[in-house]
Amino acid sequence: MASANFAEPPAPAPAYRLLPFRFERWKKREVLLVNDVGDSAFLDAPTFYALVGHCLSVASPGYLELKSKLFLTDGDPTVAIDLLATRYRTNKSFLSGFTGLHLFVITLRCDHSCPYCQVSRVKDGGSRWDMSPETAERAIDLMFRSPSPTLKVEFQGGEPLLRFDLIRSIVERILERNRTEGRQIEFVIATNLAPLDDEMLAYLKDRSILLSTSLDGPAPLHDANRPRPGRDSHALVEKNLARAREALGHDRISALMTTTERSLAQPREIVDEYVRLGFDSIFLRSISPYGFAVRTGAAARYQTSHFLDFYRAALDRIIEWNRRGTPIREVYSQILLSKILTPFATHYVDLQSPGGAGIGAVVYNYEGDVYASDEARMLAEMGDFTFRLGNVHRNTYEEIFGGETLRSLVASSVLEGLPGCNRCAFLPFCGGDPIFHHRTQGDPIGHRPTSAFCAKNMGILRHLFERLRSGDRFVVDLFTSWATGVPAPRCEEEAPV
Amino acid sequence: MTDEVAVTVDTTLHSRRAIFEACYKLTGQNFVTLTRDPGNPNLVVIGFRARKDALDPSIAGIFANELIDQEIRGALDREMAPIRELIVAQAFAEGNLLDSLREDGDYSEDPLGIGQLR
Amino acid sequence: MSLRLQTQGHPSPNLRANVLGRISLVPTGREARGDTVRLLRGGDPDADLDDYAGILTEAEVPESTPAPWISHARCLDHLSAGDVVLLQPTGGVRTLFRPASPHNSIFTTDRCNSYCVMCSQPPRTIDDSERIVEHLRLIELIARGAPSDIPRELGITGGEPTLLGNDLLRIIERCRDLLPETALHILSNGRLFYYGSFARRLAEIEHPDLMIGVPLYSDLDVEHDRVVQAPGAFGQTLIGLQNLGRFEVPVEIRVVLHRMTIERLEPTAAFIYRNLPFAAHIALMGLEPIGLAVKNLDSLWIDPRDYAETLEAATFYLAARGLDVSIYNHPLCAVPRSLWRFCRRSISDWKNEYLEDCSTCSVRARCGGFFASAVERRGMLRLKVTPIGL
Repeated sequence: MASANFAEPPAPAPAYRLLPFRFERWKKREVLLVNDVGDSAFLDAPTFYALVGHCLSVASPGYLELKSKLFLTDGDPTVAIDLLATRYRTNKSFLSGFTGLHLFVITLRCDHSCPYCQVSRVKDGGSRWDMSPETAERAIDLMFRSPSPTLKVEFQGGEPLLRFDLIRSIVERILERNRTEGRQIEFVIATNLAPLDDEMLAYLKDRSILLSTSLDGPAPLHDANRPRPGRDSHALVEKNLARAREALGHDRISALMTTTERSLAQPREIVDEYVRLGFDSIFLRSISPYGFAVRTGAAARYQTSHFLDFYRAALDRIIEWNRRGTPIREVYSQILLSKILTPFATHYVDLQSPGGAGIGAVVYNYEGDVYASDEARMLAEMGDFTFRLGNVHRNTYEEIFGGETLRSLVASSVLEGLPGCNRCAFLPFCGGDPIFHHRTQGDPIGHRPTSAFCAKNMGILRHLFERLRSGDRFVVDLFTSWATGVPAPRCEEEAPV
Repeated sequence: MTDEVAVTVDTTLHSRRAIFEACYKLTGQNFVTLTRDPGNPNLVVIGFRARKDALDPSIAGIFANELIDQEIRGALDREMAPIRELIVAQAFAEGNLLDSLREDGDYSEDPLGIGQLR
Repeated sequence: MSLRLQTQGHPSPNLRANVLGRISLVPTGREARGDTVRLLRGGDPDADLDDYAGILTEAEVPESTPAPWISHARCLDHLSAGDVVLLQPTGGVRTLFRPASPHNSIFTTDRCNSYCVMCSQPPRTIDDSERIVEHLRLIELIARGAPSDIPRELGITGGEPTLLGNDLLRIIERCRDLLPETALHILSNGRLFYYGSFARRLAEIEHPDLMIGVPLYSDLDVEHDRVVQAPGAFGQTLIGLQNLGRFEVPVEIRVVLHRMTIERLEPTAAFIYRNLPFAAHIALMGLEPIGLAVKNLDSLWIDPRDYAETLEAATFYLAARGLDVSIYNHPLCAVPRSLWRFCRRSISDWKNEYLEDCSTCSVRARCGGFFASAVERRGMLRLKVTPIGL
């Protein structure tokens, strides 16, 4: 047995090999490095140049951190490669279930006239705008062909509650089929809450169905954004929210907001309204360039830099509420922070490479057409069927999910192969959104320097990194608890026994 | 107030890829043109014109620095490519591509001598 | 309290191989005698000594007794009914299992392929591979004891248990079959799980409640290898851990805190989170000043008060990420109050002691106290306690 001569310092490390990373210039002559699995490090410029010049010494500050975080290796490289491969596989594990989110657009009828609506809504009745039972049945068949052990079924429209009977029959049919399938199934209805009644609430409770509604902000803003006859959308939301919470439980209803030109001036007020109505999360979404949004010119007036101002101000307000002891988190930030701070995969379809459209989520339209996403469906409404994957009545599962349309869509969303993305430090955190680029720029790959999607994500990511480095312990702990889903362990002294 | 700035780049010093990557990044704010110098085939003239508002007065410096960064990125990509590919291949491989002993090595035989007593 | 686990006496001529048996203080039925070592207290008028696995006494044993025996034992007060003992041809009597203790282990081998600078059980190069028979017999004896004596948890330790190879798998299988309600806690350096087939075979046993505790001393290969004194160990351990994780074998990461590991404790915690987030448990452990640690004590020992900040940062870092973390072998007065909820009474009962001043402490009942070996050296270690007032 060797004797213990551990007191000697280790021999100087041999030359190191770089492990894959990308970099971005930062303020104050710093450089951000992000490796292929999403771990990050900040270096000052001289250290960065020494690193890439292969003359960084093991004694220099930063060397050991870079080694620990797998930016360089000076020992057996196969160990580092094995660790990175495991991380990479974990990051891409969202692929293994394939299609987990299935959206059923069961009717186009709606009593609201929101200018930014991504659905061309029709006011008249008549079931020609509704999904037929046969179409629903075919869609359910296709859904169960997905290998995913968990399936999330989301009812959309128009206003899906206008055909509550159809919701009920689809839910029952799925539960019946699931007796042999054995998947974990979750149901959500995206609704403006207006048609809710007690009978519906009883059923929703019985089947543990979640609700997702739109809340754009305080009443004047919300009503201006979301007009309906009577101009009382907000009042209805507030009333029915209370009713639904009482019947189903407080956390069974979530809310999404959509940002319009009007919203941009009111970040604090919107956040405050979410807090006032008892929500613990808010999703700051930007306006999308589809459907009625384009026709009414809302998207055209919309500048990404103004959205970023709005986002930063809203995030400030959210943090302030948390400091005061009111927990509220921002969902888009949470997804990005999860990618930055944890080794786990996220499941938000627009921030994945390959992109989630079609493979993570799919839309079954009322007449049976199958689309890769909401946005793809909207393009069809405008006469552009580029991203229609097929039809439940005319195509097989293999044709829809293995066909050329989906394949080329997926190929154009792999960031490692896109100009402007493949050398970007933020690649591990981002997504491609080919449908957005097709719509706004004319091709699915798009032009990165003028892409609103790119500018938005880069702006938000830069802001989040700045906040993480600000030295504000509260913000770091808060962001960590958002990313991990674990409440921050309190550092208080324990009370005496 | 200039409308257009021209930068001359020596193609024996800079790679084609780096030149295009740097140009691409600036096509957001600018119209960018590339022309060979008729007198010297190793020189390329890159023209910048603002798309809207005024041309950034430091555009030449911005481009020059971006060009160097893209050269670094290109060098890094070349250096890292084999390991990058190995990581992705290993991530989705059945079995271990780095050392098959990590998959089917016989722990009783212990070919690597891991169990050797100290 | 610290307890005796070993004594010595005169062996009978026919005690030529190790004998295992469960202690009984009273005569037993004939069917159970093959499993039993009959302990005779002085003056027991017990004529019928046939068919026992062994006889044990402080007094004499009649020459005609056919069963193997150890007589004139120095002290037998520490033994209770249900304890499993090993009678050795040398006259040694070792306690292998005590139902009264929550801390029982099967000590599988003296051999190890690492040589940690603070090893509390220094390895020996002897071929003890035939002891597998004893290990399997021990499991059987435990299983055949009184139902209330079945342990909730059983450790598998050494040396390095994986050096047994397939015999380790046999031990686990037997525990699965005979002690299905007993959780197994295997302590291993994890290096031989570099061979994925070993991890896979272990997982295939499908033991219902098993965890492998693996030490990791740093986020850097050179530092870890320096502590374990085996070049390449860090890489082998990490590949081993990845293999165990791949086959869903529950894994615990153990970090012993001393001068060679404390400096990089926070980066090590971050490394564990990034690469081993599937770890079922993380133990941050105080140093036991015994074995090899004693020789190197000057270079190893550090008063926990001196690393309070870093321990707090590392613990909260892991807890904030949802990892189950515990602090072992630290008395409560030596750590910040904010960490008390992570502290466990981890020191095995038979080597657990407190200092005199602890008697006035209001939290003594939930404090883990000290290692007996630390108390023994309390001057040199400058051990101090700060009794917590009410």
